[in-house]
Amino acid sequence: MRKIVAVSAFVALVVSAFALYAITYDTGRLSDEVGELNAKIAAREAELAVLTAEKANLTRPARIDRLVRAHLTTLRPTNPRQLGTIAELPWRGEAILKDAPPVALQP
Amino acid sequence: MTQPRSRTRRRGLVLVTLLLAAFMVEGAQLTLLGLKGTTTVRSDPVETVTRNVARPDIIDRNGRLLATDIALPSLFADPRRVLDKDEVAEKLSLALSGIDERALLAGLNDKTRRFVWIKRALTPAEAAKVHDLGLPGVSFRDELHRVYPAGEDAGHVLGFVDVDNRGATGIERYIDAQNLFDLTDGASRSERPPLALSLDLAVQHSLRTELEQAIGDYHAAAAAGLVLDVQTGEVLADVSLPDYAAGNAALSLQPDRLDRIAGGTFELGSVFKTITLAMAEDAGVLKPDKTYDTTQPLQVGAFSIDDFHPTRRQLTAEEVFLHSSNIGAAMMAEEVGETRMRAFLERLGLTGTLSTELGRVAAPQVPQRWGKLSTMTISYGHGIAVAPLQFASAAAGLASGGRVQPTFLKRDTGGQTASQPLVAPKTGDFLRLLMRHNVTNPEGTGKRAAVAGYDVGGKTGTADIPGKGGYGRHGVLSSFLAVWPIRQPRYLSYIMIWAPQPTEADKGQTAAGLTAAPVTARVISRISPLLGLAPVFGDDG
Repeated sequence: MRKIVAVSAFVALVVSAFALYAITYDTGRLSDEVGELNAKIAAREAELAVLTAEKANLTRPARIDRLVRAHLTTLRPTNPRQLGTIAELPWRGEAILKDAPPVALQP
Repeated sequence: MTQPRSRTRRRGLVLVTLLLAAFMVEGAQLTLLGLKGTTTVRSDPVETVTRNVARPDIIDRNGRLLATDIALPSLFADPRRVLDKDEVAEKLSLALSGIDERALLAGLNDKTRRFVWIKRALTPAEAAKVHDLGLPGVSFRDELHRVYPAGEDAGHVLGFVDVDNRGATGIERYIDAQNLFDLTDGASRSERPPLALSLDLAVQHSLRTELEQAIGDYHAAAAAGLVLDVQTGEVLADVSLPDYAAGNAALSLQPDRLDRIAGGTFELGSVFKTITLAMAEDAGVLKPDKTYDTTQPLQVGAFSIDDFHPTRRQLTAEEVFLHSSNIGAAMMAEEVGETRMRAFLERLGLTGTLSTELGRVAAPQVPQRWGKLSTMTISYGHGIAVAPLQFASAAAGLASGGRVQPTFLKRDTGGQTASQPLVAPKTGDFLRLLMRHNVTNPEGTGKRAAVAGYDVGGKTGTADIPGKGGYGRHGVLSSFLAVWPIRQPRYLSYIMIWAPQPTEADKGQTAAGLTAAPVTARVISRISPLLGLAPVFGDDG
């Protein structure tokens, strides 16, 4: 009887020790993985910050203005008279609907 | 026989108890550690490493990025681990720009130090070059570095940070003063929400290019301007040329690059008549058919006050404004009197101190002995020097009816901020009508500020710039104060040009009506659509 208890206790001890070490190693591995992922996230975030800054730099009004003046030489500044609202447009709905060709449905 | 046996037993018992106690202590310690969770043990390879300052992004009112942190490698050395100090100093000063070889060598030879910065914020190419040198004892550390993607347009407002990423001037200093930054060990960016400024980058850029153009057109020494939302006090654009790009600390030290909007005081000249007329109306000294005799200069003791554009006739109050008569304004001020004038200027906040997020605005310079002459000269903007931002705030208060506190941060709620009325509604109506007539009337000095569809009202100011030898030798300060749409004021602009040179087209004139007024017209027609203000074409254009 005593022997059985002792042997089973020993077996339980060995099994639990193995389980404990397995969990410890798993945890270590997982936390390494977490660390790696966090480092990757940080690296991506840093890259993102650089790209966002670069995008803001490339779309800054000063640069767009310079490019427009250099390349779109036919453009002129808008005159307030060119601005309007949709409501100011005369209603031509019926005429458009009457003259418009039937809408071809896309297959 | 029994004695030795019981002794052995007792010894065994003591041993077991001791062991048990030791195990219990260990178990308790393990349990505590387990409960506490993560206790990370760190060891820094170098002792004196400054911590990184992570700053929030700065964006404009529409979310455009104005300032952000990016991580860049910085180079440092541990002198004890450097093998050949001369070699390191020589190779690094060859590979990198801006390195003082002698200072670096002195740092490396200092036996008390284990940490020497070699260069902060390297470019990736520089970092690769140093890496390839393979020098022992020299290492990199990622540091946050402030960049301003659109900084060339708003240098004065944004300011700059020092080498440790701490705010030194402008909004950057405000961030430090309000503790809006974080200290981090790594180079991780701030997780705070971005700081939204009141500035509109598109408006800011438009104003800046128009002012640049004006400096070129009139060969002027300098120019400055600002656009205010008169309801909320938000500064939508703030430009002072010559300026410096945000982050350029070295350039900011040049004296002519000072922030003329908030950092300097100036005698602004006739734009001050806006205040004088409002004051006279508020004090009730104006009568509909009362006229002011401007047929000859006004003598005050040894001093003579004359008009810039003399009409030499009797002028009504409105004509005094339209022709910008110094004589008429001085007479009105005399009628109002020194005491009431001081009280009125104080009520407008023109004589006290004004502070914004950028710090304290340059304090106004008012006469120490405020006599009759001061009262009269102040009526046309001489003898008192105020910062343009402070003047614009007072004018915005008159235009909107309530006190206006200028701010460089975006206000949370759109629309009117509650404030006590500054002047009676009648006075505000009177002033708006005057300003409108000054632009619509063919005789008005502000007629060149007219923009079809936008109902501009305004006032010119041409002030002699004082300097060595008094007035009259240093050119003029031409400025224009505009409010639009004048029927229900939304925006105010104040544009100034220092020492414009006469152009042939203007027949040698440098008055504000020919310089600052047309610039204002261009600015208004350019920025109004950006601000979402639709033009209204009525009967009077």
